[in-house]
Amino acid sequence: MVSVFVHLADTLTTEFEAIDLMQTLAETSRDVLPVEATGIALSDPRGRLRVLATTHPAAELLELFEIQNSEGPCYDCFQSATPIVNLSVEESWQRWPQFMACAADAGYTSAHAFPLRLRDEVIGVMNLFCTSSVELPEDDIGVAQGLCDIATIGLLQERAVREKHLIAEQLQAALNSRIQIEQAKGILSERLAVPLDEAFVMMRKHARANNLRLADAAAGVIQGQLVLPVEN
Amino acid sequence: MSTSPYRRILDSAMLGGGDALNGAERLCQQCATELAVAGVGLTITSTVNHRPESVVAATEGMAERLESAQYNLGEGPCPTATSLGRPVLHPHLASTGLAAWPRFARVALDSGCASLFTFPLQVGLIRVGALTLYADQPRSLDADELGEALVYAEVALALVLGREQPGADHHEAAELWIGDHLEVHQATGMVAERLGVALVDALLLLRAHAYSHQRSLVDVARDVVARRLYLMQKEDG
Repeated sequence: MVSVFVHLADTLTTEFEAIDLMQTLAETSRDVLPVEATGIALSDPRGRLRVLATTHPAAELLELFEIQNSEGPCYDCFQSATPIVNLSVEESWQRWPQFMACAADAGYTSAHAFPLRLRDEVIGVMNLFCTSSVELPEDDIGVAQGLCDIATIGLLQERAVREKHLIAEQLQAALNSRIQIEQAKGILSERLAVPLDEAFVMMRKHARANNLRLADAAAGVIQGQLVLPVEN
Repeated sequence: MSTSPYRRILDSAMLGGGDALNGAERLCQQCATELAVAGVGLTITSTVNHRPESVVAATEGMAERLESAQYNLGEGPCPTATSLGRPVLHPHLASTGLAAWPRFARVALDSGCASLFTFPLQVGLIRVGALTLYADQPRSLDADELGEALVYAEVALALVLGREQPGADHHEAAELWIGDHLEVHQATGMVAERLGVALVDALLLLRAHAYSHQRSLVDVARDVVARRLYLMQKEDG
């Protein structure tokens, strides 16, 4: 388990962008926790949650759903600044009828949410989705929150914590990078005739292998400088 | 979106009639008043190297002068913000400005500017310019003010893009809020690649289609992403 934290902390020591860090957080959490998909949303200055990274396209849809409807574990977690974990299926359906219906459509039967917290402020939420309603054991709850805490520290950096404006700059940069990545996904998907999700995986692979930031790989695709081969 | 801050700001910018340029002037004025700063300016930058290309609108005095200074010097918060793709915020310009822009900061400080806040007009890699707020006191923006300024930048972006759309009613075209639906950005990339046009042109085509078919931008984008709709170079509408 320690190695997971080390891996995440490693990302912090090299130059990174928020979006890469959030993608790593999402993937790491999915890999080490008994969950099938994860997604991370950050709050913009107007207090709206906006999706930054997901492990799975269906999770992406769910996140969007939540943002639009102000209902679901993410929303509750964001409002209360506490983890929303292990709610019974009945209670979940009672609390979030629309969210649960949408989750069921995507094949998920339960969801948990953990806050990305800085002191009293919640800057975002990590959402975990499960295809079976297993309870998260106490240990895993600690791991999930730990991963969120490390990612938050990395995201805001020591320097940024002292200067509120730097946080705002960084979060806006991350939100815009997300858009840039979507634009590049659209281009690649059309260029190589592959689905959008596959286009993202290709870009992510290339960025990782070449130590590029995701947003830079996306810019390369958009500007035509980065040509990704189709794999068979 | 009926009561959104975006809509409110857009409506009052367009209230006095005229075209997008008049709207941009009023937007700067209103932004300066609402956020209690000395001046606000709006400059368009080159898509190639992010150099200021033209000052679209600025309030009289400090903002006018400092937008021109950035144009003449080729440096300043506006090109920095568009090339980095994020806001550039200097609550205390005297202590941080000279390191960032030796020549521009000198002019700014001499003009009585004590802090500045620049917001790029951008959608991902589409970066068309920046909106800058200039204050004559060292000050910061709290979360609400920051949110407000970002909405002003979003409306300014819509106005600038609206100028590129001949024939359309600027006001109504600008109402097609780009928003934060990821499908819009995926569709933009797909259309750009398919038609061999720049991202900004692809976005304008999507908007023109939505406008002429009286649909929301996100609905049109979803159809493009699902490959139910293929846009042509020229939209008849």
